[in-house]
Amino acid sequence: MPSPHNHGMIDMRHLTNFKRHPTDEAGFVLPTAMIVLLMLTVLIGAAVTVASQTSTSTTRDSNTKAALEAAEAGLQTASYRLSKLEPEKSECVTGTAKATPPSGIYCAGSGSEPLGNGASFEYWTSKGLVAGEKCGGETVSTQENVTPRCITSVGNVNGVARRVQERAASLASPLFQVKGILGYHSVLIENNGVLEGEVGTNETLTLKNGVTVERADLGPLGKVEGTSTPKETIKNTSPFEPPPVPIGESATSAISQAGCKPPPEGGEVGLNCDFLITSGADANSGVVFTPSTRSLSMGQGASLELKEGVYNFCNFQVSGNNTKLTTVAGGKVEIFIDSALRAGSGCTAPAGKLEFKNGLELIDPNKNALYLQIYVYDGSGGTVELKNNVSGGQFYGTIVAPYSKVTIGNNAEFVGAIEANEVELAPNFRFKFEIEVNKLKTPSRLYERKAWEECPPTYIGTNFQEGC
Amino acid sequence: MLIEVLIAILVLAVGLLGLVGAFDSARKLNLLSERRTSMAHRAQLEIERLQALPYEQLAMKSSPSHSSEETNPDFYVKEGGTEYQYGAMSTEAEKVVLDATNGMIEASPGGRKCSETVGACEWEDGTVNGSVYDFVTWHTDRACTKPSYKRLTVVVTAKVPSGNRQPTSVRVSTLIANPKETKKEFQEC
Repeated sequence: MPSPHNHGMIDMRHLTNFKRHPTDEAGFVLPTAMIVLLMLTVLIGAAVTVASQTSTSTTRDSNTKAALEAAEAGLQTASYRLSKLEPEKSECVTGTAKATPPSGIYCAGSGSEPLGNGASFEYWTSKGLVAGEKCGGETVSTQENVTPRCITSVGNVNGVARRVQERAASLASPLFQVKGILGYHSVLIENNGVLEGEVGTNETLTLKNGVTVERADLGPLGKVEGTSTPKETIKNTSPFEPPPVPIGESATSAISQAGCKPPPEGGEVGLNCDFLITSGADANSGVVFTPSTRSLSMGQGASLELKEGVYNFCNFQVSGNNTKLTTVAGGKVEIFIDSALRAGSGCTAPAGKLEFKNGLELIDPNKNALYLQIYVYDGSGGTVELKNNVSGGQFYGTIVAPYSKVTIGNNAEFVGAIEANEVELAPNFRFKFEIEVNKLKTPSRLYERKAWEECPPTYIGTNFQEGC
Repeated sequence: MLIEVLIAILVLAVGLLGLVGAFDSARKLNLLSERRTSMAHRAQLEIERLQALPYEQLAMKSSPSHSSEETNPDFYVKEGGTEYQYGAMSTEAEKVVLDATNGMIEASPGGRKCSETVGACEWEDGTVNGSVYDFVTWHTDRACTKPSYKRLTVVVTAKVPSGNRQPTSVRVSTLIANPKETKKEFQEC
């Protein structure tokens, strides 16, 4: 008979079995905790890594933005130096000087220029681009009077780089800033002058009795004096600036007339046609041309026909009576009066003189101011005088002498445009602005942005153009 | 057995505390990054806004004032407000472009909202806000001996609740040349 104790023993045996389970699971809790801890550590690591990467990315983002502005600073600096140094089309700009590309179209880089706070830039400029070349994400097309250039700039901030490229161009602007007569220093119009057009100056415009002027165009410090008043007066915020005289390669003689044709309006002036004078002039009539000194003079009764072409003289003086200067029908004539002070002019002092005096008859069958263009390089030859001439009633032409005094007297009428440092017009002078001269352009010195693109920041070796 | 459980609880507690700490640090770091990203965006926006202004208007309306707090961008204003140190070196300082007539750039935030003014202002971008400081100084080109064009420096700071880590200010600088520079100015620079 089972006793309660026996029954209890059986139960105890079960209890013993029951106790054995926890004994088997001993050492399980801590490893589990360690595994959980390991997982937590991984999570912590991941969280810290993500946060750290976000922080690094943010810092890089800041540097990237600053690098773009550093690259932009490089473009601005390069444009400034191109405008200041005025390189020829075949030249470009390095750090602070003009240079010729050793090969290809680019000059050497500017070298790294610091901007502060770990930022710096370096740029490369090209010589004048020609049609078909690519820059700023666009292919260059030919455009008259425009010199496009390519600028590539790399900005760097704390090791983060951005590379940008722009096509900059100096656009041509009208050669005659005033639709009429401009005297940078002053303009004096004697009694009863009649001007159909504008008169401009930076300083003093003097209008004597009975002068008629449509409009006075003044610089910021300009003023009108005298006893007549323009119909309208405007004042500009910036002064007029003399344009560069586009003398080009005209000091060099061509060997055929085809090589010395006047360029299209605003185009680069090529070689001169002076040799045509020797072949066309009648020495017995008083025309004397000395090729070695490029001096041309016309004495008593001389007559000369200038064929189509560019002419460059160190001096051009007409002092004899009853002289005749004829320009050819249908052909443009550009006359440059060079200076001994200009490097490469081939002139020796005294030079730079232009005088039309004592009864010169200018015969212009074209009746168009574009067909006789006169340029005086500087003021070294003294006053430019057009006096006492007979021109069949009208003189058609343009005069650009930004550093000279120009005096015009006793011509019946001048049709065209005049730019000089000082202008003095005789009593009863009549002037009419010729709208055609607006076609004459002068290259601007200032380079403006025409196209822009960002290139990949990195490039291989020294190929800074790669990927643009 | 009991000891083992206790040790496990302790280990897990330490781990959880570390996790909480790490997540908190990560949160703070992310918050800092968010603020710095907003600041960088604001700096870029501000410098592009300045670049769009006419050149003659790129000038301080009044002299900025020096601040004695190193974290304030005005700390780098020198010489009674006539110079600004754009770089880390004390020699990297330039004259301030001052033009009370044409200048558009406010010298100090002064509570002005960026949407209402040009120049120094108070900005806000979602949960982030702070101040913008603009400085326009004369830069001398390497090809010149005299000041030739302008440097724009934008410094953006953020305001954070006390106890939060202050993000370092974001500073962006560029140069801008006069598109209408005259030949005389080129020659005389």
